[in-house]
Amino acid sequence: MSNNGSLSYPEELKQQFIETNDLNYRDGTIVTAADIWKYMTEEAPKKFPYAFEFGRNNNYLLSEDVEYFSGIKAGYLTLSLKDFLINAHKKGTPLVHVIGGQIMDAYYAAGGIAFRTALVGQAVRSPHDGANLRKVALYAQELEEKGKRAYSYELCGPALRMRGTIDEGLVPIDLLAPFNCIRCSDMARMVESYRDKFPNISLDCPIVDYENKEWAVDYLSSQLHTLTKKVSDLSGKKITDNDVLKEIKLENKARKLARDIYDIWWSAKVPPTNSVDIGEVSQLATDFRGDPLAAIGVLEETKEEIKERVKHSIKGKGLVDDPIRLYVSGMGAGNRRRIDRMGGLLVGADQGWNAISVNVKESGDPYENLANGMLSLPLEQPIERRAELAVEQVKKSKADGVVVTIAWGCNYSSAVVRILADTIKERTGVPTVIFETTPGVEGAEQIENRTESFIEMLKLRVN
Amino acid sequence: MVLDTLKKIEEAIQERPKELEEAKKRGEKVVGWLGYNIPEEIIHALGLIPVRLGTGGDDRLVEVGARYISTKNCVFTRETVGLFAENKDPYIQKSDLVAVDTTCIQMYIAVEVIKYYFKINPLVLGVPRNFYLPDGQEYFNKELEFFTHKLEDFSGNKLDTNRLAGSIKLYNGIRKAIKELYKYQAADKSPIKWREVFDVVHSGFYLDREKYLSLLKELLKELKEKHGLPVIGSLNGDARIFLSGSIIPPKDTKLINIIEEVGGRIVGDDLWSGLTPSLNVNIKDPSIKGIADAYVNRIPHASQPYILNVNTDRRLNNLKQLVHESKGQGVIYHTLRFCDPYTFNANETGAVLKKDSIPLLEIHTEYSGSDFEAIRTRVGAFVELIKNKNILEVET
Repeated sequence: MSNNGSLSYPEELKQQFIETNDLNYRDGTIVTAADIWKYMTEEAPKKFPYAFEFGRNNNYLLSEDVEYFSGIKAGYLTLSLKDFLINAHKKGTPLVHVIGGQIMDAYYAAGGIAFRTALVGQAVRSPHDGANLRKVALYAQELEEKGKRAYSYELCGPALRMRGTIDEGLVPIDLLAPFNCIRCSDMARMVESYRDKFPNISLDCPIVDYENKEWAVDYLSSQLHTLTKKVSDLSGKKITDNDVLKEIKLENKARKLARDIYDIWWSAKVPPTNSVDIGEVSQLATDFRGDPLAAIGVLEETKEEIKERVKHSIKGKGLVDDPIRLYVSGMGAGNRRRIDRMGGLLVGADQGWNAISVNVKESGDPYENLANGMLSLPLEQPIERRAELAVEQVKKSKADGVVVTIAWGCNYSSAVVRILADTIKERTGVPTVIFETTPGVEGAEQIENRTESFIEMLKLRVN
Repeated sequence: MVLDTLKKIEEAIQERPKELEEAKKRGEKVVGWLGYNIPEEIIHALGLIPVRLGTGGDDRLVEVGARYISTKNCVFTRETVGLFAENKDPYIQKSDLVAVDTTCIQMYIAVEVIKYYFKINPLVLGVPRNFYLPDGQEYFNKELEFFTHKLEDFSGNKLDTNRLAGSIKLYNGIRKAIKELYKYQAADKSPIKWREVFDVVHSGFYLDREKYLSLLKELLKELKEKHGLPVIGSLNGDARIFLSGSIIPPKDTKLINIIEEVGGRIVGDDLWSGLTPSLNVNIKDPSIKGIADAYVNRIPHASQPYILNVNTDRRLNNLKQLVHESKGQGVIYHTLRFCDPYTFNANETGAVLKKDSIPLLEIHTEYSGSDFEAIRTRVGAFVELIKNKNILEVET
């Protein structure tokens, strides 16, 4: 699989791969497994060398588990996303910039495509094809610098990426419509900063004890009506309640698939995938890489593949025997591949789990259902309730240690980390560590030093 | 010239903790609050004693708070957590209930931190980010109804319309007096400095509100007797500085000291710990809805994002109007590190003011003294530029 220091997919796997399922997109496009193989072995390595480049700090490298086919397909959805979005936009599909971790049903029901800032970050690491790791790292730094000059040194990574996406024109955008919620104030500021330059909607996700406040549900429900109206005006798609209910059903399917996959994965004695591949599951079921139908196809294959691996005790590529299991509360704890190399394994993350945790009611008033769904997301809860979810997941995932992260510039994560760490430690007995993360490749070394030290300490404890 | 009433206010402040202690012995309850949109009228009308909490400028307390909340949160929230951790502030000690609104998300989360570590049970008032839309206003109305019912349970009293009308009248009187005081401090040869008025506003966070209004009226009378009506005419060569941006709470005097030391004259502010809470509060009827509508429609806090046209932004328009009325010649825009709402808006605010030829200097700081000299250099240069401009204008 290694060719001149780059990841490649062995020819001997081709036949087996092309016998797997096609990808069906919601516009009727079918991408065969053979098309995907060709793209991932011929086109993508030329367009995105960084995604194939072996390198100590390469957080963008695709999974090395070349025999895990659904992982290759997930990689395809990511690398082909920019072209997919541009083509969709040309066909009149409105592209809506949103915040990560929220449910996307309303946007898709109205005929739009919702994409989060970090997804653009993953899909468009350089405005030009052919960029290697160094180039994408420099470009990320350039975006960061421009954003900080334009707004503030204290802007968080996703907000910097949002600014870059818009100002650099990385992908076309028709509407800015992220949820304004407790866990993020920077996004609201960013939307405000584009108020006279871009169509926008502010979706206020109210906080505090929504179960006892039906007016909070009414407020959000009404805003969801406005949102779908706005997106359907842009898409030209007339939308009925039934359309929204159908979309909820579809996206519930993705969310349930992801939850099932995690349950199977957590139940395994031998971890069936590495940290890179399991991390993709929650992301696929949250942002769908722009197409819920295609994402569901990949998730269905993922579930079957993981079941098979669990049945035959197949270990994910790149893992040591009995790795130290880390759970992450907050944004990522660094290069997932390197964590595996350090003898660790990322078994879950509450940010990834946030949107997949909800099962939206599929009958009745769809807007009210979506509002209830949004308001029930763990990350939108008062912090002690969010901590409850983390405790439950730490237990389920049999984590040996928990990394609680502060994303640079994020007022929310910086305020809540101590409570999260203390609650988890108190309720599970599992050791925790808090550290700050910065976006991009340049800060990787610090993050990974800390992670490695933590893993070393946990090894002594576990053994 | 020392104003007699200022001395009286200072004495009243010294006495206030003892007064609260006695009130508590009589069975009265104190509601300490944090935020921007808590309507004191309702607290007062229910027979509760409102006290606005939070101080600034103490680096040691910031460090105490940082044991529970990170250094990536603004110093005001860290110091607030530090105040609760230490529990020596008389007003925190005497608060029977802590109320917070969600205008500033950091402050709301800081209260969650305080709740978790120091076992208080806060009462939270949700504030809409879409405050300019009917749906947002309806949400706030319902939130305020809920908040009021909780306060009724806490006080053991039902909200009475007549009492509420009385409280509204009292607070309208306070707001009117504060607005009048601001005119005096900006006037020619004024007998009262902005700094003194700012301290008087902060006294109102703690004092019995009836007594406070009576002192404000007395102060205004004294000013009128000694000075006449306030007139802003000749600039007298002063470098007239207007203060804007992040909160400057009681006890945070670093920037104020620097501006005065380098010869600047502060003539106004739009701070949420200064004049702004007294502006545009038009309560049309003595009811929860009347108050909700008035609060949601007053000058918004920068934490409330406004995504419509910049020309209709009430916060920016208010700033421009106040600068104009006070004849401010330059704006010092104070931002606390990690106070995103004000920091992120600094460039835009500067651009808006530039259209009216008002220069803006952003001072980004914390409560530590390590940047004192750097700030002094920058503020000094800014004040000199304004003074030079004045000289040039006189010469031409």
